[in-house]
Amino acid sequence: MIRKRNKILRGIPSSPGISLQRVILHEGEENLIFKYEVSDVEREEKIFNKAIERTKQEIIAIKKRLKAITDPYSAKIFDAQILFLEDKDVILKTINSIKRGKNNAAWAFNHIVHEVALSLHSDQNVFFSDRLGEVDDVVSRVIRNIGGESSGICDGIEGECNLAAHSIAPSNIALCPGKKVKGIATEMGGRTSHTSIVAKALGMPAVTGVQDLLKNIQNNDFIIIDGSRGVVVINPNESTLKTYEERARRYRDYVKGLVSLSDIQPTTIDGHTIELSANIELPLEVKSAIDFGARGIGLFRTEFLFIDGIPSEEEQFKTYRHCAEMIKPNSVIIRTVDIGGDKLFNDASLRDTNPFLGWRAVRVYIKEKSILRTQLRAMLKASAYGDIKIMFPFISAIEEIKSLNDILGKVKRELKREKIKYDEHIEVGIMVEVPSAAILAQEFAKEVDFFSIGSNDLTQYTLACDRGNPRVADLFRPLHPAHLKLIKNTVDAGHSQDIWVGLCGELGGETLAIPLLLGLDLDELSVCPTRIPEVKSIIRHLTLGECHEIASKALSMASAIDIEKYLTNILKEKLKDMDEILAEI
Amino acid sequence: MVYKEKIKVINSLGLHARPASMIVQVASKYDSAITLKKDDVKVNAKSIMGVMLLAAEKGSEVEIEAIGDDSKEAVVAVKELFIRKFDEE
Repeated sequence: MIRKRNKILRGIPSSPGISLQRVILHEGEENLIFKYEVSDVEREEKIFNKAIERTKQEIIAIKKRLKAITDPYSAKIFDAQILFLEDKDVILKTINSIKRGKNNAAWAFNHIVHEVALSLHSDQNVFFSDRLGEVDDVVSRVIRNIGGESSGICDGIEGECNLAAHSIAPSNIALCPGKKVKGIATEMGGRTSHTSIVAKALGMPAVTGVQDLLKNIQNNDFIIIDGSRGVVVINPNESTLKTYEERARRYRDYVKGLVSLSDIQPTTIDGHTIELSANIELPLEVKSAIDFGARGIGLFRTEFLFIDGIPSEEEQFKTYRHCAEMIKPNSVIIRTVDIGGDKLFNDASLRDTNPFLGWRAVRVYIKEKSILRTQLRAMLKASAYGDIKIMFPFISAIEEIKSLNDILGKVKRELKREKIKYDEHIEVGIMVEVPSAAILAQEFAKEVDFFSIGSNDLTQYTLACDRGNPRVADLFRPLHPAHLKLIKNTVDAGHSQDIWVGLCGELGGETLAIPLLLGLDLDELSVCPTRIPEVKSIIRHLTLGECHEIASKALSMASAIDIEKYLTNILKEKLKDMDEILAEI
Repeated sequence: MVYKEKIKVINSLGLHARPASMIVQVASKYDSAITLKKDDVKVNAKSIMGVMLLAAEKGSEVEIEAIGDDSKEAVVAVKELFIRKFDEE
């Protein structure tokens, strides 16, 4: 393929910022496998051999376990996987590719598997993909084990780069050290996809939904990713490059201006200060949360720990302790894992037909107590090293919180018997994200120390609307009066029982919503780290008195669209001097 | 010494993972180089990747060929697996 010159492609602007770098391509679907040159081929060969050996041991162990519970014949399907790991054709060719081509082990192995497959069946793709499915599982296992040998799968990339791919799983973006990967462009995805959310959280410019991206791009092309405008330029000419260098500089200045607010309080003109904290998905985001001026972590999602199965107590403890120590003297609210039973047990037969209404989160671990016990033990142990608060998601019935509190009590007594230190007064709260909990907030408030409103799910359940479904996405309006009334009810109920009430959904970071949320008397807003400076500067343009008026006016309206219009007009007036923000609303 | 024989795949699922493993396990016991050929595709019978990707379905014809001192024994042993329907039914 001839290298393209100054080729401009358009996609969806998914995470703002501009990155000008050479590009590394990732051609697979979800598994992130980079190709790069290794300097120490002998070490790479050792890594590969070790990964093969470890994988073999893993599969032998699985086979043994299976043999014990079922007939020996079923266990035989694993013979193919073991034989595959002994397949000289594949192994020798991979080692050859490492030695002669100086290729990294993960890429070489993946490439050889596909090359061997293709050479046999270039004209029978149907069979090929079908058959390959049987070894896919073992291939990803090997690649994971190769990754386990070095600290990260993209460890060997030299210098900084942009990344182009068909699609990237959010967990994989998380594995890329931010220092190396500076920007992302993908063919798949959209503005609200998880990939975009994670990219935004890491402050990494991203353009998604770029058609024919991989057809136009080659490894080491120089590309511009403009995540603010949704543009990708391949091998820009001098004048394009100049324009974008200037834009990138202006954007950096703008962000710097915002970040310089990090030491300033989120205080209204009339002196009311709100707690402003950050939502994070990964421990590495704690640092960016602090840089952007977060007071604490208002929501630490723990799902990433469960990507490869149920993590050990020790692994969880280390992660929670690390976060708690980093954010000191402020606190981190850790949410117990919110995923479906099928993922927790890695069992597709447990998949719900409607996961949003199915067997997930507390509904799973009230029955399967060991998952919760392990997580609570890890959180409690970590609470000896910093200020940790525990939060339970997806609560819909009062019995649930009562039984969770019982389990927590038991775990505490267990630790006491074992003479392990923990914070005896650790605060416990719930996410209010199911309408039943919002309506009965008065009752729930008696059982907990705080509420945090999950506005994404609360909107979705109140309006019976799946926000991921483009055909109904238009109905997903967090500023809907029904949703606002539930928020108000939750805040008032919490305050009447002397507990604090926060909000950790995306609504908290939305420009339009800020005066309203202040006016509803929320004590805390927890938002995506990169949104903090802007939210702060908006708060500093308002008075609590006028926010109260705005909230009561909005609550008197019957239509979400009217409320949106009303708030837009108010903000245009209040934020006259904030051009960059106004451009967005 | 070259020895070869043709055999039909008669087990209902064809050469999927399990039968493929059995072929590799048996073939690996012999010193001869053993290949399976279907249409124009020829694969190493000692490579699971090769055998599986041969994608031989029920009814297809496979040629087993061995080159070496024990070529005849090898071909007969592999052929035996096909006849036994890989203990499937």
